[in-house]
Amino acid sequence: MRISELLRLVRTNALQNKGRVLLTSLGIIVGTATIVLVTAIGQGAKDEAEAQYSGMSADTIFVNLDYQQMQDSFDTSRLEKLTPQLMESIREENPALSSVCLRNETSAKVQLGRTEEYLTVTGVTSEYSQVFLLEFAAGGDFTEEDFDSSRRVAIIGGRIAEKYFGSAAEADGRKLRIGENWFTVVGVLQQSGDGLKGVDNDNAIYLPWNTMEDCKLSGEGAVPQLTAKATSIRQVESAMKRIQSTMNYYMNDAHKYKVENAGSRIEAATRSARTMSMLLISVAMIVLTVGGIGIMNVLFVTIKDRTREIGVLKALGARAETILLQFLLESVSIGLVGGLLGHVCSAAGLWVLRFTGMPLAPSVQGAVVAFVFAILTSAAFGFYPAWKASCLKPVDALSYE
Amino acid sequence: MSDILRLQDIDKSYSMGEERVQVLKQVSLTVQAGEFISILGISGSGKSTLMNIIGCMDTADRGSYSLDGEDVFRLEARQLAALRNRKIGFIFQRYHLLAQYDVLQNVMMPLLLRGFSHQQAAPLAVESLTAMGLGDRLRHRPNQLSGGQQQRVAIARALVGKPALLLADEPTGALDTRTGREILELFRQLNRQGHTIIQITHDLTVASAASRILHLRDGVLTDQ
Repeated sequence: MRISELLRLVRTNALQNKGRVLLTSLGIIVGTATIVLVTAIGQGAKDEAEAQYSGMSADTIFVNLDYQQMQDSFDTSRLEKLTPQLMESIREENPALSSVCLRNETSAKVQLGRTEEYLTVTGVTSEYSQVFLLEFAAGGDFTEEDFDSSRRVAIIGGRIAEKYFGSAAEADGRKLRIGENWFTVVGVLQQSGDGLKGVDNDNAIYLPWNTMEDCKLSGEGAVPQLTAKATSIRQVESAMKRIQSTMNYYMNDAHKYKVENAGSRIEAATRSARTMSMLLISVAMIVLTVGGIGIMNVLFVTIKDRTREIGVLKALGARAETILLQFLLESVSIGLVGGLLGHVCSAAGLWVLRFTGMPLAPSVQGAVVAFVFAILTSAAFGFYPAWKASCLKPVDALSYE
Repeated sequence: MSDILRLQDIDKSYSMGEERVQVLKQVSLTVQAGEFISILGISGSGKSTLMNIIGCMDTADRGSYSLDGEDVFRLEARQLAALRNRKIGFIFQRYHLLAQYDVLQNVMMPLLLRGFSHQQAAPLAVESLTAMGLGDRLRHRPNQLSGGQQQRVAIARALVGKPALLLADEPTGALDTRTGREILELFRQLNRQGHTIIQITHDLTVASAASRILHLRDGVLTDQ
């Protein structure tokens, strides 16, 4: 039989049994929708992980508390901290570093305009803007003088400027209050759109290191972090070793810190995103497989129901291949319907998920993969029942009641 | 006149548990083109088995069978399918129309299976249905028709491929007497037009419609 005629018959059959086709394809619908959603969620997470570190060059080195070493006590008040003096030693002993800075984050009540809110305030040493490749939308960087004489000045992130003062230009020169002290905004950072470099600069309030100390804004337990840039990516390894040895020499608690580079951080973040993707995709595959088994079951029942029909077709001269192909095409058409409806469902699902604020990146590849798998599943699971049907003997099939 | 069908010394047995039952014994039958034959037998006489062998759907243990010049027992499954499609028009007791397709699609089926396109098959099917007086029922589904109409659709389907032989298995068995008589009259008419017909039945009245009656008793086929 011509394939076009066979397709016509399959279509007639499907239209005569809309309900059954729809019910059978439910598993495929769910499976397809799951793949689309899951790839969107997985890709979204991966994109976000990458965006977070985008612009952070791989030559960046971090010195952070090693939290794995801190299992027993989270009391950091008696921990030996990184200091500007230590930072100077690290720099002096390390020709492989181009710039280095300390950051000390704390949360404080900040009054901006008429509103008062708890925000993150960060004390920084002079080279922080080089290390983090910061650009200014208004005003400029702190001066040597600001650092040396602990001036009451601040640099704020673009989003904070917009939210509390209207715009970057308007924020420049305005005052804000942290605790008892008033600070003048001398610079506003360019907005970067998303939290990048592992640090949320858009919502940051930066103060000179000494100013922060002077005003006693940071608590006993605050742990300053050191961030440095190597002169080149090739120098990262040796720069890290030198930092470690300097710390070992000057600090008793050096082992409680971890020296790591941006590359490994990016890798870790993307790796965990990838792991999540794989997990989600395997869930989708399981759903699809279950859907396929559903198709197989229904086709087996269908073939029992249609044994006589198969017998008649064989008596009229249908070859085994024709019967096989007919049932295979019926299975694939169920996959097709399921795939299409699955995409409709996934569109609805994506629309709903947007309200949760989850990062989503629906992709054409995800949609294509889902569709291809819907078809493949239905073909694979449809094959055995179809083959069974084609093997029926015309005599047995005709006399089947 | 030439022989359409020649069965020679057909033996067929089935094993029923431990027993071996001889269903057909040395059955020989020659049918010439244009004949109308009835094979009369009670149930259990081997009727269905003989019908299946003549219909190229079953093989014998011994013997030979030639249909319109083809040595049937030497053919493979694919070739048998093609042979059934080209040489035999089946008419079943319960019509065996396909419920999900309309009347026209049912009648086109043998031609579609032969590889015809929809466009090629449709006019022939319409012609065949019109000859059966069903030209106005093309888009009906089988279950919208009466038993007699359904059997006429089945006959149209059997005839559409211009087979060498019409093979009818209790064609009136599911019909009331009057409709049954109409179908038999139709058979006689088709026979007068030159169609070769073999019908298998248990009913002497039905069998009498044919020009030659053969009796099948306990697997033995005789003229009396």
